[in-house]
Amino acid sequence: MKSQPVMRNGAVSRLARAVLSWPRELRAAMRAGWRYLGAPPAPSGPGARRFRAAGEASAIETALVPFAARLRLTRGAASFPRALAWATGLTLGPALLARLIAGPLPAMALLVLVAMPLFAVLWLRLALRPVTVLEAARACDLRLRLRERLATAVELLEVGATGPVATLQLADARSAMVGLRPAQAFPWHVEQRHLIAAGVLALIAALLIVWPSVTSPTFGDDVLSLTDPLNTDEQTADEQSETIPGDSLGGLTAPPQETGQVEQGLDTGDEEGALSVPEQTVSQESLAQAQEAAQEAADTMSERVSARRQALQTLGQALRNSSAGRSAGTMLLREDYEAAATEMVGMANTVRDLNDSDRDGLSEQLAAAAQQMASDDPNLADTTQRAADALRQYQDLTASTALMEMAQQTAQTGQLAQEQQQLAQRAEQLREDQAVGLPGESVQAPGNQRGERRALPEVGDPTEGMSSAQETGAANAGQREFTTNPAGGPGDAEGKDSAEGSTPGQTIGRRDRSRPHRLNVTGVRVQVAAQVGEGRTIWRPPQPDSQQARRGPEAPLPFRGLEEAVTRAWDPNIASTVSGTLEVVLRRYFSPAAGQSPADQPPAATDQRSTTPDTVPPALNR
Amino acid sequence: MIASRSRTDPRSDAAVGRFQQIAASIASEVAAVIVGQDEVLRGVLIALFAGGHVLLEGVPGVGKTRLVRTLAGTLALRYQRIQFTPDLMPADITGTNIIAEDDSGGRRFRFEPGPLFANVLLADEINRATPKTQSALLEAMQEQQVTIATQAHRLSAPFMVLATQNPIEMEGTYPLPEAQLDRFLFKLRVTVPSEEELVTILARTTSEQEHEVRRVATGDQVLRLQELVREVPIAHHVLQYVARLVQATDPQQPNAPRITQEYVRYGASPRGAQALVLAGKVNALIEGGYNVSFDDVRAVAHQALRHRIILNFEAEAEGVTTDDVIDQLVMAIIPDELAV
Repeated sequence: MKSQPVMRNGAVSRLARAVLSWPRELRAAMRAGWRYLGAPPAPSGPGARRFRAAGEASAIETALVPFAARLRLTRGAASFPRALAWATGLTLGPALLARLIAGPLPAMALLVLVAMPLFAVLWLRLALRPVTVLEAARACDLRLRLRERLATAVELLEVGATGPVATLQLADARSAMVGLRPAQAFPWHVEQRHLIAAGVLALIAALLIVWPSVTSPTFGDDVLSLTDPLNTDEQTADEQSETIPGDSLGGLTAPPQETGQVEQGLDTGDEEGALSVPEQTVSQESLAQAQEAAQEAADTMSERVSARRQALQTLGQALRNSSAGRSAGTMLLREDYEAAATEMVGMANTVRDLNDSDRDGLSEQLAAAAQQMASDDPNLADTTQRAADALRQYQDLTASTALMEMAQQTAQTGQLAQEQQQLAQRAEQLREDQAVGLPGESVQAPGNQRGERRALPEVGDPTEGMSSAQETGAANAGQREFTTNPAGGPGDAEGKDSAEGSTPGQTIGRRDRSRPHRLNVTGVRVQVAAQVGEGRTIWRPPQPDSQQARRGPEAPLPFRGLEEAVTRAWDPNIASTVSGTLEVVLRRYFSPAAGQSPADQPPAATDQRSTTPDTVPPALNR
Repeated sequence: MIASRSRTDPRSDAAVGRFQQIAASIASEVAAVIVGQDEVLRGVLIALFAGGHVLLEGVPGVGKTRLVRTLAGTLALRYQRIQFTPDLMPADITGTNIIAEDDSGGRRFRFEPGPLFANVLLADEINRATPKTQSALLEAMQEQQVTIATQAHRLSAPFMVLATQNPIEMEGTYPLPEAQLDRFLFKLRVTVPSEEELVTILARTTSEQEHEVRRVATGDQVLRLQELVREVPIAHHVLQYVARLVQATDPQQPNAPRITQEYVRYGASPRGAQALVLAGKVNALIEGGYNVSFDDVRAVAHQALRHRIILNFEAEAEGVTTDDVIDQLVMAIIPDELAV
């Protein structure tokens, strides 16, 4: 039992020696070339020829024949593991390189199929090379410590030297070979370190072959994983606060504590959410309001995205001026944010390879850019400044991290720019719908407003919206269904919302996990059912002494079908933060003061709290 | 002292047998007078049979002069001693033309040979003479002749110079120039005897009886043995090893070892390679072999190269000696790159 640790230590030390000897082996291989693989070139000089037939050869040459045969065999065996180790290493090289640079992963099996036959041919060629007389003599001298007797004798025989000393030397060489056996001179021997090296490399190669294909560690995956809609819990507060209007359009969603049962609706069809407006029963005015809201949202989003794009332009210009970041800067200036992000990731991975001049230049440019874009994008400016500081202080890890963050922010801006473009398209579509509708006329005849029906204010064709969402890899467009109570008398603004067949606020549809990422959402579609009575519907504010009014602004807001349908419509993420500006815009649409000028609108916060449960948006009461 | 290599089938003809016999006899006679200094004696014998000259370096009183005198006593050869001093002139060594009166009463110049005209010459404390006088030995040591005026005078063979110098007493001395040093086949260091050897020395030198050295070899025998040495074969790859070893001492070589590049100012000359081969041949014969092996070359590398490698200031500052450099080179140069 006591010997076990010793054995373990011995194995470990052997392994360590084998590993530590690889650099030396590499240098030796570089120096020796093919000789490293075990078959040195045949020595030159007298006697460097093949063996003659038995009758023509001298006694010494004849005696050397079995030694030469044995030498060839043992030499081939000794060179096998070394050649195998190097062949495996050469096979691993391209594969590891492909893994590192995330390039097209070559088929490992193909590499093996190419390398191994090459190795076999090479090894056989080396192992089967004939052994010359002089080579055998020198090998025997070396192994049997014959003090160069045999090699000298072979040379003397070749040149035909005579004289007393030469005669004595030949006799001495012959006598030295008496009793010697080839196995004694050339025992089977394989260096253990070569075996270990070959084994370890072969194991690594096997692991790489059977390893499932690893997705290249590109930047896009990181971003997507951070905002995976199926894992909204991972979304950080920073990300939520970063949500810009386009994204926070859906972020008008009330916080969970304010939505009450809405969470249930989210569970069933949360991601189907889209901007909901009444359909068909909505007048042209309401359509205009929706268009206005969407346009305002797009404008707000455009401002912020424009600022961030401007910041990236500044950053791109700075990077363009530095040799290390020229390609990334070029991509930024071209507004190819995805490619720029990839270039930045590459910069982050090669920070430690920067020489002093490149490092200083990049640091200076980044610092200057950080100052210039502080007003446009403070976050990016801060990250850029950190990268510049870290580069200047040779803190490669910090610099790499900062550059990674810059790459993430760049890609995020790219996605937001795309969303902004889609939002602008949506606003344009709303304008077109408004132009098609009859002014001052409801979409549906008043007589048809009786009874229960689904009000689907078609902001766009639902089918079209759905298809556009799918085409852009967006999240699901959804529908939200509400009904108003048909029992409500004409002009009864308190027509109660009653769930018909579904919980109020419950969205129709199921989460489709196969859909692409939510950041590419373009569809804004909500289906709302409302009950409308005949005649003019007048919204009345709650009485000051009513129960709801006395609850005060801090009282939890019970579910309000229409309002919740709107606020929950856009963003499937319940934890999203709602932009105040957009909240005002959209809440105005469903507020009693709709139709008034924006300047006349009450503040959003008070508006929200002053909305009573029995409030019916005027747009639906016409 | 000289051990024969164990052999399964020892053979020798008369020449080789005589060589080993004479070498053993000389060594035995000298060892009867000189206590210890086996390596020095071996080196002197190798130089004798290789036809080279020896520079003996050692502190005063270690037996350098006595060793040379004893060696000369074992050979039936003409022996001369020159005490080198600063005022010694070249003509005092080589000889000069003097005006002599012939039988007819006429006067003419006649060459009067100096002490250089001997078979075994002891140049005692050679570094005390000026370089001018030291240079008087150059032609004699290399070409075994002396040119006076326009006439060359051949020295009798065999001719061997054994010079001594004191390594610690530098004042009033003139270090040997490189050209002079290169003429010596070997530079041997005579070390201080051990306690046991010193006791033996005291016993021998302070008693009434002194060993009577007998002559065991004549000049002709030495010459024949020198010719025999040159017949010893050496394989091509051993010659290549010698060449690599000597080239490794040259810092100007592109693939010179690191220690050479750091500490060596000048490397060994081709004469150093010749010394290695010749001394290796003698060493092989003394060892009982009939061809030169790598071991034979290594055995004489220090003696043959240490005075041919000139170290730079860094080496002196760091205490690196030529023997250290040679040790590193012998380890660094692979004798046979044949991979088996």
